[in-house]
Amino acid sequence: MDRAERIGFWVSGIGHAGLLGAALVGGALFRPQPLDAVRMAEVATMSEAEFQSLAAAAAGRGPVSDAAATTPAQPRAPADENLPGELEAANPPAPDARAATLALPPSRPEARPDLSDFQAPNRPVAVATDAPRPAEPENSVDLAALPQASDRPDPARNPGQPQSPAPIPQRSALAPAESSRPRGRPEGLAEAVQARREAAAAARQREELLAREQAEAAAERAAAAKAEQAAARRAAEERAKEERREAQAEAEAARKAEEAEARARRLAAAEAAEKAAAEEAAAEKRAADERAAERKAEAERRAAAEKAAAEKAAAEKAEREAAEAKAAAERAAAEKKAAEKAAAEAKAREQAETERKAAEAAKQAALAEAMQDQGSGGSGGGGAAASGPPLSQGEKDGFRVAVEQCWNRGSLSTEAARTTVSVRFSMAPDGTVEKGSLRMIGHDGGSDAAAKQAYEAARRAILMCEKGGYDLPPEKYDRWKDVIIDFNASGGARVN
Amino acid sequence: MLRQFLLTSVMALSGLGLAAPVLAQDGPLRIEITDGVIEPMPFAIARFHDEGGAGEYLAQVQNLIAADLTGTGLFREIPASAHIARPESFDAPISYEDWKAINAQALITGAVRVEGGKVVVKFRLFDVFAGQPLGDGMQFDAAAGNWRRAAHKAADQVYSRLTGEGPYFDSRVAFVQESGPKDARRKRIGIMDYDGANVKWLTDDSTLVLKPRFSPDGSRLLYTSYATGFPQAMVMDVNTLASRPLGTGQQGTMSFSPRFSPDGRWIVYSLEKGGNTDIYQMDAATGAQRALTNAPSIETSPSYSPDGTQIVFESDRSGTPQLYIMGANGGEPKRISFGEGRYGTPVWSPRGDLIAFTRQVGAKFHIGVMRTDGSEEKMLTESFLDEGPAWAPNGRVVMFTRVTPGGDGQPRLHSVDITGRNMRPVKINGAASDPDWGPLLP
Repeated sequence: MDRAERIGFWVSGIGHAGLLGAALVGGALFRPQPLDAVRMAEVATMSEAEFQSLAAAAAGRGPVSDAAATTPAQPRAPADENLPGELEAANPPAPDARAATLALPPSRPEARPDLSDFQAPNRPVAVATDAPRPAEPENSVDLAALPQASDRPDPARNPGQPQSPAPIPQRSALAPAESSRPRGRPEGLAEAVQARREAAAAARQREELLAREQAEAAAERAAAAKAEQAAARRAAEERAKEERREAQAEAEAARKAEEAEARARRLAAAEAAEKAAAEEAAAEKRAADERAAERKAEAERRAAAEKAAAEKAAAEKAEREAAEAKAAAERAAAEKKAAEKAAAEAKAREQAETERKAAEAAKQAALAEAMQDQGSGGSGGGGAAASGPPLSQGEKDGFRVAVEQCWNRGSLSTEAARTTVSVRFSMAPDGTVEKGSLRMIGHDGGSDAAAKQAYEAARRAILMCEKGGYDLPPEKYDRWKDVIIDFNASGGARVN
Repeated sequence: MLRQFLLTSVMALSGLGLAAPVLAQDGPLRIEITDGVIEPMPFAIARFHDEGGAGEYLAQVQNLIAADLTGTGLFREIPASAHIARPESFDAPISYEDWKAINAQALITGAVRVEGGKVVVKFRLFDVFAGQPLGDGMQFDAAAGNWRRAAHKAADQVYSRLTGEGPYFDSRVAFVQESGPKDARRKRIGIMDYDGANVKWLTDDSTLVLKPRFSPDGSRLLYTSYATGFPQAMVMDVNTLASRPLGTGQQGTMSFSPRFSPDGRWIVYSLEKGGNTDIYQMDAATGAQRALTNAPSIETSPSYSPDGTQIVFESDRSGTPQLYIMGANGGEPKRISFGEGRYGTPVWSPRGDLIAFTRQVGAKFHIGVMRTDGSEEKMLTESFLDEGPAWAPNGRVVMFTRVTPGGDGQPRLHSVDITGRNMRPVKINGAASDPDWGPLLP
């Protein structure tokens, strides 16, 4: 019985013994604990009258009678040692007589907002002298008394009518005679206040947005570096694996030693790369550049001595390694023919190439790490907060469909319905749209007026379907806090 | 070892270049929406306020504005019973949340008062979800008998601001009223508001009259009269009702299908001479006329483009009636219709982008529209007999005649949106045909 079998017996024996033991005594160990009995207490309700009398007694409005104290079966708080008559906290708050005389809540409207811009002098009531007086018939059924549009005096030729002093804004050219604008808007109109608040809010949002963007940029850089590093590492590992497999399959005994050496060198190279990059990161870039240049020069000299060109380090290295491989092969198997040597050389060259790639990946990994270090060290100009992965296609589609179902193109003019508009806006972390940030950033395929109409429909779509906030992943907020939607009118529409 | 160090250093430096594009990938989330929905936009009209003597006009004005808007098929009114907020006055602030809650996308507030025999209507329009007014408030007044015009004007403003289309509610339509049995029809020319209200008669039914056509300013009306037994193009002053025949009336000729040029200076019409029909042009002021076509085929139903530089007409020179376009001074026409069946009565849209026409395919009639180069042809209707399209002043709606089948079939006026949706009859009593939509009233 060899050792392995013995161990096997022991393991099996112990396992089975444990199982038997559990079956024998486990029931006693794991039987359910008896539950505590449910405790019960009697409760009783009290009537409104009883409560009132209790309250009155507590407020000192009458004698604290025993009747009040013994008010039926009032459930007592466990730690309540006070008699009902002495209660303070437990008493229901008595109506405070002073309440009625309190100063009225600030029913006075809030301070009048500055509406000076709305207090422009009211426009004259009868300014609309640029429209002809409608010589409407007095509604007789007489055929001859039909509206006499052409009989209307031409205002240009009518000296009796005062000329309007200036173009009247928003005055419809279509208005019937003597149309006048409604009075100036009254003070305190909610819109004015709201507009001002929104403007302030928008300014705040812009500032926040700016700050967020900066933070996001830094975070993004860090994330990108990390991702790259991870990718590089994976790539390096993969390549190394591949290489190993290839080498093991093809290399002869003589070359195994060489390959091990190469691998060791490769690891060393990667290590060195990481170290170097970390060092560089710690130092300032310029210093690093200088050092690198120095090292490069130094290495170049040495490399030259070894007959290696520093610029083509990889190729040169491959050659060198090929030569080494050749030498090793010669030493280990002197009887091998030159053809075999050549083959070994080729293989070594191939290997060297993959090695070079691995080294490059390692370099990138090192670089990324270095950059990350730099970022967290503060010299990168931003925090290291991760912005999360980009939105998945499903998440984007969900958002798109949510807005789409509110994009009503049915009430648009034919021109506006053909106009594509791009709308940009910011979103709060809860998925709601920051209304003040909505703006059109471009349009295509229609006049400015049509684009304005199309934008209004797009804005309605965004605001209407927002409901309590769009369903977007909060952990990726950085990815959707700023949004551009292109409302492309070339697509179809569902007719409801 | 040093060599490896050098290698990594060089690679680290070159890696900076690789990392740069990654850092640049920063910006807002961008998505594209291509599909939307088409449905009537829900709007609410807050109860109008009586600012003095409005009386019965208050509800009438409010109802007419709502009817104008819903009649377009583009809007849907939210009934007052669903309203949460009831503004206390015309100038009261708007509680947008209350209107949002009932999903009103647009809100109209208004007031009516009567002073000095005039009905004064004022309104404001709000975008509820954006929480802001759409344009300024406006006010219109009209003689009490014309209160409908003030309401139409207000509705026109709302319509234009919400859709971006031009207004058209405050306009009138000329038409031919038909009475009597099919084989002995009596016809007279009438004029009405676009919605069928305020009908007035311009001719009596003693002579057969056809195809009234407004002048660009709406002050004159062209039509075809059979008073002499032959068709004769006539022009009538809408104010005085005075009529006169067009041109000198050459012996043995028949003129019909007259239509004004957009500047009102020219009249283009068909003239039958010796069995051949061509298109002629006449100076409306002098009566001087000249032929624009000279072909052995039948050319008829001319209609100017809104810029007055081109004329679309119907010709059977290819064997079947098809649509052609030529310059306003004649010249070689270019065929634009190539579909199956027969095309006729082309009318150029006042917006210039489309041409409406009647098309007969087999036993079915259609009202259709196409671009002026003949592309994007689209049928808006299909029935036993649809014919004679007329454009609304904003080029968005087409009115036409639909005749019901059968021995007692009656012509009725219908209107349809150029999307092909929202076809509905015009509410007038009796049979009517040959509509022509006049210009927007001043």
